[in-house]
Amino acid sequence: MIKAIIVEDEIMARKSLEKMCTKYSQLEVVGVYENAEDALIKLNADSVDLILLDIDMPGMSGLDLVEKLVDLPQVIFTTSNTNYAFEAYEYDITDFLKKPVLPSRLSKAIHKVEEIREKRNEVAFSSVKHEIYVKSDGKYVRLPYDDILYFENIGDYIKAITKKGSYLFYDTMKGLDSKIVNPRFLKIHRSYIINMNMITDIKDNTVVIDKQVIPVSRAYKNILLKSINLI
Amino acid sequence: MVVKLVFMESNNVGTFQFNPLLDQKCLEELYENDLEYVIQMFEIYIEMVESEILKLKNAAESSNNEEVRQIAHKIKPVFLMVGLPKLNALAKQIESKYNSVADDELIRLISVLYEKINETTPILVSEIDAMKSVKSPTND
Repeated sequence: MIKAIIVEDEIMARKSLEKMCTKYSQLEVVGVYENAEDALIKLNADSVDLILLDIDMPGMSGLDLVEKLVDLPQVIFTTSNTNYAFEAYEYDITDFLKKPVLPSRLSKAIHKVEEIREKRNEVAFSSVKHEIYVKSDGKYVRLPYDDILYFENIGDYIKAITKKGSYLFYDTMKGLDSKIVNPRFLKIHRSYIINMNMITDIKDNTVVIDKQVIPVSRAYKNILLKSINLI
Repeated sequence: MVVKLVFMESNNVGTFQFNPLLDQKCLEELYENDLEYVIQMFEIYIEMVESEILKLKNAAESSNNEEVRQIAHKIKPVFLMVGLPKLNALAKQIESKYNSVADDELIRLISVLYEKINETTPILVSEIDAMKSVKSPTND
């Protein structure tokens, strides 16, 4: 579902956009605002996927609003003055519609929004399948799954032990467990998540990875044994 | 009195013949097949247009040119939404000339717009009635 807000000071244009948006089952209008100031409060509190945004409004203009956003969702500008087009496109917007907005034109714009969204999801999904990024030492470090040996919980931090080195980052084991979308990673102890592909051997209540002996909790041992191809 | 031809098989704007003073094609493009939607927009227009034109007049009389530009800009597309492209063109003229013509010329243009609004509003009112009767013929 695409979460959208409408920001428009003129009542007929506002009602018209609201009405037209109801025709798209994939679109959910989560807010309608008569001015950019109120919209900014909403955008600072919640994230949305799309803003249908008038440019020329009293007080803060649509362009001012876009300027203030750190995390810019997709934007469809609406205006009756095409002179703004050049400036508007400086902001990497999705589309620019002339008022009054024709349903056929809005339909094309919504189609563009969906295409961009799909492309972004594909990129994100591709990344999720192969790697994670962790914030360590003030930078985002890419850790390909093939390089990770295991994760160890150290107080409020997690240490990622990889073939190339160790990286300390702020997270919880529970949080990390939910972010790694790959079946080869298994929690075997309240303080350890391991990469099953890196196991050298399993003995009693321990596994060995890269010569390191890692404890296996009794609670997780059965899950571990069921996860390996035991002959 | 304008005689209108109304086909009653649906709410399709394409089959509803608007008063010839309104731009049929423009209304068809905007509202596709939804008469209820047209009625809603016409009603909002009638409710708001007078106060907006009065604000425009006041702004021009007090030489507040930026306000004149803003109001003219705001109401300009509204006229297209009720099928009145000539009024749209007039608002456009006011918006573009707000700073380049003498105040009395601006006031004259606004007066012309005001007159045109007064002439066309009764047409929109009767169109609303006609559309409502198409929408619910059993109520006649």
